[in-house]
Amino acid sequence: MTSFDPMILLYFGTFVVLILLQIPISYAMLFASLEYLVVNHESFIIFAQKTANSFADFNMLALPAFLFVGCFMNEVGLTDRLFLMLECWLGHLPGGLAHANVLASMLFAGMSGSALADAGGLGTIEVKAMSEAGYDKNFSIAVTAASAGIGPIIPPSINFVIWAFLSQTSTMAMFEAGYLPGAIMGICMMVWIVIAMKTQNIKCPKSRRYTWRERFFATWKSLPALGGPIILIAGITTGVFTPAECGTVAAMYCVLLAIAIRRFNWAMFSKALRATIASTGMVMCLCASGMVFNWLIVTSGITTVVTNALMALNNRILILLLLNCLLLFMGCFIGAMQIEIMMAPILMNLATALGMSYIQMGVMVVLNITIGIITPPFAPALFVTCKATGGNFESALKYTIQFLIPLFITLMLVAYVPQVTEFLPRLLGTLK
Amino acid sequence: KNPSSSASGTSPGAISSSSQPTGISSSIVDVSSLSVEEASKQAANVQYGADTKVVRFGNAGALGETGPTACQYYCDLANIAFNGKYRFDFYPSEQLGNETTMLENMQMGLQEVMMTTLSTMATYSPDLNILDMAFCFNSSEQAQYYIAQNEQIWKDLDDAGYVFVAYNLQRNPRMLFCTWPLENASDMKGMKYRIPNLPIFEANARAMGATPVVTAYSEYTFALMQGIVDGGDSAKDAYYSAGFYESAPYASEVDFAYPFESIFFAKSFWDTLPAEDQEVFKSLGSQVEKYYNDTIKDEWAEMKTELIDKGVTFVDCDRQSFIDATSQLGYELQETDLFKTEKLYEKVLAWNAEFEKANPA
Amino acid sequence: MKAGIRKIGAILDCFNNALELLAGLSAFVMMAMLCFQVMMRYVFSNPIYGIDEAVIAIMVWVCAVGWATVYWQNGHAILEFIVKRMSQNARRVIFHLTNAIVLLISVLFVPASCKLFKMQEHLRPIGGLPFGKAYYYALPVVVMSIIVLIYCVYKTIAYIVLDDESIVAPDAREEGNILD
Ligand code: NA
Ligand code: NA
Repeated sequence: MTSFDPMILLYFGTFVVLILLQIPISYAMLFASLEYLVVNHESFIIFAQKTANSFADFNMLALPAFLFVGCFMNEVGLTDRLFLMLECWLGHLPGGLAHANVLASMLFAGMSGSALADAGGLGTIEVKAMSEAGYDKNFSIAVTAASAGIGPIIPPSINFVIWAFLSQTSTMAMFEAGYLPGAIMGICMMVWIVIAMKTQNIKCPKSRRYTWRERFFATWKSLPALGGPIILIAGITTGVFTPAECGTVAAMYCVLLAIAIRRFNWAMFSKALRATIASTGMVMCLCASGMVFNWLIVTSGITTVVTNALMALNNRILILLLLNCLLLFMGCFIGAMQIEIMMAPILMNLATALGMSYIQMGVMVVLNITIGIITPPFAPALFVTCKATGGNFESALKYTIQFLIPLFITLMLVAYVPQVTEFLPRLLGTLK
Repeated sequence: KNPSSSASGTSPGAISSSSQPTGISSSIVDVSSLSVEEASKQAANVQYGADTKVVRFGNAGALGETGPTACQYYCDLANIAFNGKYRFDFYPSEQLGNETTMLENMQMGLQEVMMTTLSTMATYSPDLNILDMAFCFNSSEQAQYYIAQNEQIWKDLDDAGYVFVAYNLQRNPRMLFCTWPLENASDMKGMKYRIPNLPIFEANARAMGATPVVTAYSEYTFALMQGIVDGGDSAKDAYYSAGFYESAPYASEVDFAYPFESIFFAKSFWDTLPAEDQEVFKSLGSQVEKYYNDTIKDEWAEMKTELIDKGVTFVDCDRQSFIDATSQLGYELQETDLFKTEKLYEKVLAWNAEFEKANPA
Repeated sequence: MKAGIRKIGAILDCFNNALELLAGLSAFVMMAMLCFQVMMRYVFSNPIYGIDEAVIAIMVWVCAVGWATVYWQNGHAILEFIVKRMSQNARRVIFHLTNAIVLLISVLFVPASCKLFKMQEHLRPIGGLPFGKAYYYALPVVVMSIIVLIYCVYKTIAYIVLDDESIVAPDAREEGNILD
């Protein structure tokens, strides 16, 4: 080890103190990098350069597109039809609405790139329907918050786009890798719902059995909303378009659909556009300052130090377990994207050392930090669901925490069984 | 993926410093006989002090490919030769940014050395664009002659702040591949042809009769597989290593352009170096050049055998028909503002003739 | 004095709103262009050279403007859980510190981006666009840094004078700006 610079502790220390003091995370990264630049007498043109460079990445075009689709679909209100359709088919089964909740999230995940769009939009309808049917409200909130986490795993996914950007892998391959873990996640949750209902006596009354006529009518009504995920899945698996194009096609589909069903108006259109810019601005600012910060991480030699320290354990299973614990811990405090950006050089280094593909590493990382969205102290997905439905955070926590079990099982499968992530990309040939 | 130099060893490198080139001070170790493996081994034993100058050497390629291996070789040789005066850290795989970023890094003093394809430098010296023009040259040597003759190139690159220690690392020529056999230019009609976002490639594709489709390199393999594009071009080794052959198993070795890798320093850094060190860096450049050129041709021969085993068809193609299809391209391009020198194509033709005369086949 | 500052704040707010809408519409145009390109490729097998680069140009401008508008709305990602529990006085100190740091970074961003612009100014246009990279690469960052600098100067002064937390921190009822 020659190149470890002890000053790195100062830079990291500054960064951590600043973000704890509620300084915007991107500015904290820039300030820590500034210290580095001053100490090493280097040019701060790097601020402008890395910024422009991150903005100009073609694959990042997917980002505003997917953000727009998520915002706009909620504005148009098509997503509720998905849940109603599932309710018609499953409501009469034991825990049927809870299962419908998970399945609706899986479908919604197929066109939205973010978990909170699910929790805040679709989630309201789900909790309302379940409460009206007599379900335990805290359990309903728990199912909603946990299932929202499927959003970033089943493509499209903003976090996958960012990982692909950071690791210079194919966005498409990342997307393809997400389907199977997303499906496993949903199935594990549904299994857990059955177990939880049986063992804890949770109130989950069956609703009435809908007629076939009602079922088919509800399915018919939800077809336009289903069109979104279908276009995306078809586009991603047959590759009619690149990920960036895929997002824009979905966006145009949503707009045309809204016009066709006469729900389009200027107010909601501009609202969705503003929300898109707000999120895009925030994310791109993080990416840009993250690239500056990464310069410090890469050139200060810390990646090598951390990698070597972990690899010295000489036990693949243990290393992966430690890494997962670290990521889970970080995910409890910091947003997914920030972790991806800060850790990417180290994670990529580790992936190479462990003989893991960047794709598997990427899915594992995103899954880890997605689990953080239902884990206290922050649990943003739970918080958003509670806020949108008027539920109580503390009392919903009891059931929410239990969903860490199916999530953790999924995580272990992703971490230790490469086929879970790599099967589909290999089948479709994106990964060799 | 790590900055490569490491000096965990305790003993300083036991390197004989006999047979030194004349004019070089005795503190510089002769490394001219070291192979890649030997250099790697000895570099691990070099010790660095507080006054060691750190030199960041970047490249876009991934470790294991010939280009990055050559970069690593250069770093090791430099570290041994100066016995710890400099510490060349090699960053492969775009760790310091993509090629455009690295070029800017060099101008900003954030990076000292890099290796990239010479025609990438066309952003700074437009006359280099012609290196990517289809069928402008007939051999790497002919193209080198042009580079040496065109003084404008060297003036531009110097103005932009880059000093070259090697630019004759001959990559394998560019070839075409497609999901169907391309025997002659007329087979390219209707072909969706992947191009990078560069005008010269757009012109090439159109001249050969194909439909150019801009696709990022990172999505190239995927785009081929899914039929977003039907084929395209690349240096021959990339056809194998990037796996293009899996979706486009018909290869046409038309050798339509002769790309080079080049190694260069940031001028702001170079100018701070003593003249004798500069000399050593240049000679190391030649040494790495030789290694690269010896390796890459053999490597392609092996790849080709393997490709044929894997079912790739090397099409018996009519090179002349492609040349004919693009015969007006040079004249058209020299009327645009793609090059800096007026009537560049006609000048190139004259230089090419000059070269042919001096080097009859 | 206070009224004047409030007035300036209202004007900047208006400006920011317009900017955000403009960026939003540009983003939409960008998506429409990319869709059109897909159609040209599939239906007509004749993609238009230049659209890809134009889309990137718009994207860079949208991102740069987005960075600035988000800053005005205090929408950049932060961690709230510690400061949220602090006393009013401690919070005040921290928000002044935030302003100082953003001010410092923004001040550096202006010459940095101008230098980048100078570095790229003489580069030839690429990708079929009639103007060079500097105009959709360095220039947006120049514009962004100037806007952020103006916003930041205003916030620093306004927070000192008005002592109103909504100038420097997101609405406390919104839980952070976390996006996953
Ligand atoms: Na998703
Ligand atoms: Na749900």
